[in-house]
Amino acid sequence: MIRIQEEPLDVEELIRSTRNAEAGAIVTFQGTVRKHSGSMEVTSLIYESYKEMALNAIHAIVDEAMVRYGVLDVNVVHRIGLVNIKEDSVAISVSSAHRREAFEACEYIIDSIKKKVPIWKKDVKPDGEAEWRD
Amino acid sequence: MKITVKYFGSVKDDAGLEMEIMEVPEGSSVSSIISMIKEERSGLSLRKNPLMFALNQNFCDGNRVLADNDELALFPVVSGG
Repeated sequence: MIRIQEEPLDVEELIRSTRNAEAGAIVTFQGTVRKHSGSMEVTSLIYESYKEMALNAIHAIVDEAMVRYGVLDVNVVHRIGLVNIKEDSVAISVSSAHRREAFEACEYIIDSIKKKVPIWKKDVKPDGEAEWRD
Repeated sequence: MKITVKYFGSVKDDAGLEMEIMEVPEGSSVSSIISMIKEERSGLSLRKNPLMFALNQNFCDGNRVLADNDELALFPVVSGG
């Protein structure tokens, strides 16, 4: 499952679809919205994507991770639109025979998403003003 | 030839639109089209960031030559996650 959606993320569902009879480990990462951007206070973030390209880019990263780390299943969901503090903006779940590959693949996937996937965010300040985080 | 240009993130705000259809000379490269757009849209300031671009939803080199109906996307450095 690789999705970009406006709805809140269902991490239980994500983990369920990662379960695999050959797996001895599932590692799940959630990126969550925190209330500070640098020294500035924020109330939420607004995410925007170039959706078709972003989905293709996430697929390519996942394919690469599966080959590189030999993991069994990978699921990724990224949220777009308004995401409030403490909510998840992205969730990644990886299953593998042994834990090490799952940890490494999960880290590789989130690092690659941050570098290569066309998604951007705006900080929403307490006064309601929103500013691109460039 | 006709191409579609899409803008995202702060570049979209600078350009003042999300997308446009442009008529460009045959054989135009990504870089030449970006220069053309910057000249036409003085608001397209790219001071804060290196401009990133993609052709038909893939990152590419500025020297890449476009074909009719291609889709060029311009955007700032990505910040997902």
